[in-house]
Amino acid sequence: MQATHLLDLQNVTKTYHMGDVEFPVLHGITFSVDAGEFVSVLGPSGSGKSTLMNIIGCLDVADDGTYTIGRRAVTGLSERDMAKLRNRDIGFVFQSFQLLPRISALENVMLPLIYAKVPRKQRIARAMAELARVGLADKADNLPRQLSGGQQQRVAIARALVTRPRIILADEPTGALDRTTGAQIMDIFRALNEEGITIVMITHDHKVASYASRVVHILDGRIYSAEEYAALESAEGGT
Amino acid sequence: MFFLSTIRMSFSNLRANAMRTFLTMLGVIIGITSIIALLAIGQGVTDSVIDQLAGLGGNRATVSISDNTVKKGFTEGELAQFAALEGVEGVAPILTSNRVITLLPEQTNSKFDSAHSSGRRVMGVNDFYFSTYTKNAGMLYGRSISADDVHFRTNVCVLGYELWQKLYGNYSPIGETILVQNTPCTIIGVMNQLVGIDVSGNNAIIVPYTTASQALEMGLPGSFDVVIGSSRNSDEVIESIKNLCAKLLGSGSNREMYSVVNQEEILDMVLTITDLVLGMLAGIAVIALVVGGIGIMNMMLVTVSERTAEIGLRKALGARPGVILLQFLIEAIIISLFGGIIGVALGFGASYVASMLIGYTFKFNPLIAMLALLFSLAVGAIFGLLPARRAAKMNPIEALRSS
Ligand SMILES: Nc1ncnc2c1ncn2[C@@H]1O[C@H](COP(=O)(O)OP(=O)(O)OP(=O)(O)O)[C@@H](O)[C@H]1O
Ligand SMILES: [Mg+2]
Repeated sequence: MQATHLLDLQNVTKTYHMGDVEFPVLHGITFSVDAGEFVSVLGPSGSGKSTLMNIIGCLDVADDGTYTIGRRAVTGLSERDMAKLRNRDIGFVFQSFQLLPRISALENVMLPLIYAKVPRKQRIARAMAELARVGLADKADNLPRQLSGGQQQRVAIARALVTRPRIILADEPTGALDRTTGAQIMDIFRALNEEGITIVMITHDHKVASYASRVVHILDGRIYSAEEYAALESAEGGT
Repeated sequence: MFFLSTIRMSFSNLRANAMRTFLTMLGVIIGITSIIALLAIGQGVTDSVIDQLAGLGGNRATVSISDNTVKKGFTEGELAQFAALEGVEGVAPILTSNRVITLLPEQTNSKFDSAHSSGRRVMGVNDFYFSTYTKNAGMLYGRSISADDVHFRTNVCVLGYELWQKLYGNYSPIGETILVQNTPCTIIGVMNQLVGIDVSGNNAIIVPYTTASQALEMGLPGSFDVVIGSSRNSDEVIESIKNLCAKLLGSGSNREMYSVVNQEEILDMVLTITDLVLGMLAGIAVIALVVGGIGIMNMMLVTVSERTAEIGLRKALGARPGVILLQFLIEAIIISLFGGIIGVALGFGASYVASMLIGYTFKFNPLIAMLALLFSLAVGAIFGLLPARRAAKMNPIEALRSS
């Protein structure tokens, strides 16, 4: 097992149970991400992308297999420690932005720092810096509803960045945006990656996926590298 | 620091639903207000009863004939025997009855142009009445009834303050005559206004009780108060009063035929009743607060389910279950504690108003206030716990999906 990977999943499986019926969703996922990479996980609806993201994001635990962040094994951690890990090591960007509606953009960005027990003065300074980084320093006092969709997603990105996590995890970050705005968001991700930030992005959109430096495919709960996927497709095309 | 931002957050959430928050708070406000008001009023009244009884000087006892077939009442001479007992400072018989009184225009400067008659309360007392019951009041005009007036059954009277105002207005009627059931009585004085427990004299015409017995046909006093010197062992004095009663009622008398009730006993009884009432109020208070608490629980359950997505997000951002629990618990406590603060203010306000109306001295009791606040805090904490735990236990994935 390579200690050099930032994220490392080995043979991760996940099965949902509904009463007595079992729904196997992830079948032995082996997948790793190195520091500084920008990986997109591309797959059709229902292929298990969100399930995988939840496991990578420490919101859910695998049934089987191992998952490590840095050198730390995530499997078997308490809920408390998982929360700490999410706070410190992971920055989430969601399809639907997930900003709290009654507090300002700045306060939304400050939120993760409250749970990191950062003093208020520092919280404000760091949140302002991240808002400036996504070009929204002048919108700090706006409520989410006073911002456009693209601006809201930029606030969400600032919030994901503010704890300086090891990895940004984005699930369909452009899913709720039009093409142009989506492209702006992707430009921001690319720029962040060029600054050395590791990004894992989940999408079903080829165009969006192409912004990443590496694309992996997920199909029926199995992971394929770009080459494997190409081979698979040509084989299918052959029959 | 974390606490502060949580509290700030809770306030903004509560303000966003101001109406709902207020209505929920109302339960606690009503509960705490009634507890505080009743406790404060109860305490104020008890305190002033004790104060006034103590203020009358020494201990008092009420002697009365229970069976008036044996004896109709006590004569002047018999009352003198009681007054002469060792340890007794004095006796105060009071006869009370309604009689027609008449003001004739030729006998008075009052505002009535023609003869004016009305039914009024007539009280027959002795000189001791003025030195005990009305100790602090004193006379507005003239003099009070003297021992000689009592002894010689003079036709004199003293007017109570309010009656004087009604009949005469604002001048001194000393020397004028008033007809009490056709008996002309000379007005010798006007009393100052009485305040306290027994203010019946304010609205009465006060005459020597001997005059009342004879000329006004009000009979002999069947009961009277005895004032016992404060330096005395009251039990011994009470015993000698009982012995004298037995002797005066005759050889065939028994304990059923008269009663001697010690004021201390009455006070004990009053205090026992007050304690009982307060205990019952405490029970009602607990019920009121439980109802308020259920209101809080209900509102917090609604809040938690409304804010499922928020809870999911906070968890994703790294909020530990304990932190989520604390956040919702603080919200519940803010509701109940604010309700408690408002309730304490309103309760003491009500007690203050009541003190003006009833006439006891208002006191702010910080202990009661503290207890009430602690109590309301506990209500929030107890009834907020279930909703807060529900929030803390939420699965972040499902919670996030709910948006
Ligand atoms: N809690 C659950 N209980 C049962 N089945 C579930 C649960 N969550 C997901 N699934 C099932 O698992 C499969 C994968 O779901 P997942 O959400 O990971 O798909 P996805 O790739 O993210 O799809 P999409 O692109 O539509 O978001 C689906 O068939 C879904 O119905
Ligand atoms: Mg999905």
